[in-house]
Amino acid sequence: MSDGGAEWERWRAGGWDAEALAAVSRRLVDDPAFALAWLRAARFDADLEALVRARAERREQGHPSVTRPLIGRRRASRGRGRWIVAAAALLALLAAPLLLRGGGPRLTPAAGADIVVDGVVIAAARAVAPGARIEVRRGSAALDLADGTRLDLAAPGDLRLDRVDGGLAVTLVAGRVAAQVAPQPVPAEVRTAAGDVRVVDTAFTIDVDAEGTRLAVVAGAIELARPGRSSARVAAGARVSAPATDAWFGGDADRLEAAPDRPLPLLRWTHHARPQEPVVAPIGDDPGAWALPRSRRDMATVLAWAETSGADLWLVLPLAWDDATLDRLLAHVAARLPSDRQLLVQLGREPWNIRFNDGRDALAQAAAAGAPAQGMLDAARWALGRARALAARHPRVEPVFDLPWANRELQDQLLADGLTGIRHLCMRAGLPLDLMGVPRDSVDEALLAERLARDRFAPAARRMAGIARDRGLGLLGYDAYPHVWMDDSSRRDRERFQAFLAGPAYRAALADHLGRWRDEGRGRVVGDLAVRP
Amino acid sequence: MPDDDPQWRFHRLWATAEPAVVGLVRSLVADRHLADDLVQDTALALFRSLDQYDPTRPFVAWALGVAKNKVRDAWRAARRSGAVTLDEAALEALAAAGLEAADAFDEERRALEACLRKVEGRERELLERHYHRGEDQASIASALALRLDHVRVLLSRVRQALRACIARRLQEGP
Repeated sequence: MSDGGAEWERWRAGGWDAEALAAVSRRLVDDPAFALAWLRAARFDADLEALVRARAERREQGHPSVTRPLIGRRRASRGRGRWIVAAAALLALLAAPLLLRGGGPRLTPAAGADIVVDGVVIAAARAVAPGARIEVRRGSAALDLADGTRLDLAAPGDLRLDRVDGGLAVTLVAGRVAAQVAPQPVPAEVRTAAGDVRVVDTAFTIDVDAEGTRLAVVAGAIELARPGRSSARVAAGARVSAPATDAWFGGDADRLEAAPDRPLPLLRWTHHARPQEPVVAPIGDDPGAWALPRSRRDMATVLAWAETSGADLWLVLPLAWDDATLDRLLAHVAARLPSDRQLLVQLGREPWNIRFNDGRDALAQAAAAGAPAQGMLDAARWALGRARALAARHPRVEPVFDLPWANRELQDQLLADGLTGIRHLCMRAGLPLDLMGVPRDSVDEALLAERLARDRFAPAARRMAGIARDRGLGLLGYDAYPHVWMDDSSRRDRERFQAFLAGPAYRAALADHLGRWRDEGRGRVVGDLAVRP
Repeated sequence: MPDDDPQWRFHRLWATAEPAVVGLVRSLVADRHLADDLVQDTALALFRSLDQYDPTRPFVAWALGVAKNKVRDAWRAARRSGAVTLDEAALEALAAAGLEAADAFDEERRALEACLRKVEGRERELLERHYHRGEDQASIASALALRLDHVRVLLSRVRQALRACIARRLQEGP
C-alpha cells in the first residue's frame, strides 16, 4: 500500500488537528498519485465490507437481504468517448462551487440547460440580483445562496427573485422548485398565485402549472398562507394541492392540519442475530440504554422515534434469543412506549422457513426441548408456542407472525391454530390479496375471511388504510405498505420511506398496479385508493 | 419488473454507481456513520431527481457529483459547529480522481470478489466478524480467544493478502 493508503488509514482513525488536515489536504491536491492511493484505500475498504457482507448474507439466509442496497452488479464497459463526456460533465459540476464563493445568490445552469435571466441566455454560473426573472426553458438550474439554501429549478420554469436580504422571497410563476432551505432568521417565502409558502428550515418541492399548484413537504414543516383564510401548517410527508382556478384547496389543507396526529402507522424495527452473537446488553448502569451489535440505533432512539412519529411499534426479534433476553427488552419497551400505542412483536422472521436462520433455530430449540421437530410445520408450531408464551408474560405485547404464502396446507394449519399473520394487515383493511402479490388460488379466502371477521387487529388495519386514503396513498405490497423499516441498514430509512411515499414513483407504481388489477377484472378497488393523475 | 418502472430503473442505475459513491464518500468523511448517511442522502437525492437524469450521460458521473455536494454540505455544517475537515480543494481533487479511476476501481472490485472466494477458515470468520457483524477488535479477540494485537495483525495480513491477490489477477488479465 502506498503512502496515500497508509495516510488514509491513519486519518480514518481520527484525532487529526486542523494543521494536520491542512497539510494532507495540500498533498491531496498537489500529488495526484498520493490522492489516488488515498482514494483506492477507501474504495478497497468499502468494497471489502460490501462483498464480505453480501457473501455472509447469502450463506446465512439463502438470498440477499432485502434491506441492503444492491451490490455486485457489474457495469458494462463503456467506451472512452463516453468517459470523456462524463469527465467533462463532472468537471462542470466541480467547477460550480468554485464560482460560488461570493456572497450573493448565484445561478448555475446544468449542462445542456437553456436558461434565460432577464431576457439574456446564460451558459455559465453567474450572480443574480433581486428582481431578476429566471426562465428555465430546458434542463435545470440551481440557485445557491451564501447561507447554504438551494433552490433547484426545473424546466419549464419561470421564477422571479424578489428579495434576498431580510429573508429570501421568490415568486414562482410556473414550473417546479425543489428547495433545501437553511435556517433563516426571517422565514423564506415562495409566492404563488394560489398562496404563499413560508419556510424557516425545511425541504420541499412546489409545482405550478396550468392544472394548479402542488406542494410536497419532504422534511420539517412549512406554513401555508392562503388569501382570505387562516394559515395552515403542513408537515413532512404531506402533500397539498390547489386547482389552477382557486386558492389552496381548502379541504386538503384543512384535513392536513388535523390529520397528522398519527401520520406514520407503524414503525418496524428488526434485529438480526445469531445465537453465538452478543444480542443486547445494557450500557453502563442505565437499563434503558441497549447496545446492538451491528447498529448504532439503540432502543432509546427507536422509542423516541415511535413517540415522535405517533407510530405503533413493531419489533421483529430473533428466535435465537432466550426468554430472559426477550423479557428484559420487552419489559423495558412496554414501560416506555406511550400507552396508546400498540406493541407488536414478531418472534422470528418466517420461522416456518427452515432454509432461514429462524426456521433452523426453531427446529434446534424444539429438538433440544425433546419435541419432535422435522419440517416446516414443526418449526412453525414451536415458534408459535414461544410467541404465545411471550404474549402471556407481557400483556402489552400483541404477537404477530409471518404467514407462509405458498404452502396452503401450512396456511390452513396455522390459521386453524388462531394465528395472526402480519401479512394479513392489508387484508384486514379490506385490500385485495392480489395487491400483496399473492397467487389468488393459493389462498383459502373463505377461511381467511372467517378469521378476519373476528380479527382483533382489524381496527388498526382499517386505521392504516384510512391514513393511506387520506394521504392519497395505497397499500402496495409487503415491502411498500405504510410502515417504516428500522433495520440496521440506515438510520435514514424513515426519511427515505416517507419521501418515497410522497414521491411520484410510488404513486405511478400504485396507479399502474391498481389499473392492471382493475382492468383484469380481478376484484374491486377498496375506498379511494385510485391515484389522481 | 419493467424497465419503465422508476424504482426499478433507479435500482439498476444505482447499482452501477454505488461502489464508486461509497468509496468517494469514505475517502472524504472519516466518521463511518456519517459517511453511510451521506451515501443514503446521495441515493435519495438521485432518486428524487431521476427524471432530470440524461440517460446519454454516465450515471456514475452524475452520482459522484451529487455525492460531492452532499459531502461539501456536511463539511460546512460541521465547520459551523467548530469541527475541522479536509479542505474543499481536496474534495475537488478526490472527486476528480474518483471519476477518473472509476473503471479501474470497478476492475479491482471484481478481482477482489474473486479473491475473497479463496478466503476460508479463521480468516473468513475474522473478516465476517469485523465487516459483516461490525464487531470491534476487542470483541473478536475475546470470541476467538486471541490477543488483541494478534487480531489487529491478522486483519492487516488478510487485507494485504487480498491486495496482493487483486494485483496478481489484474496482471494476469481475464
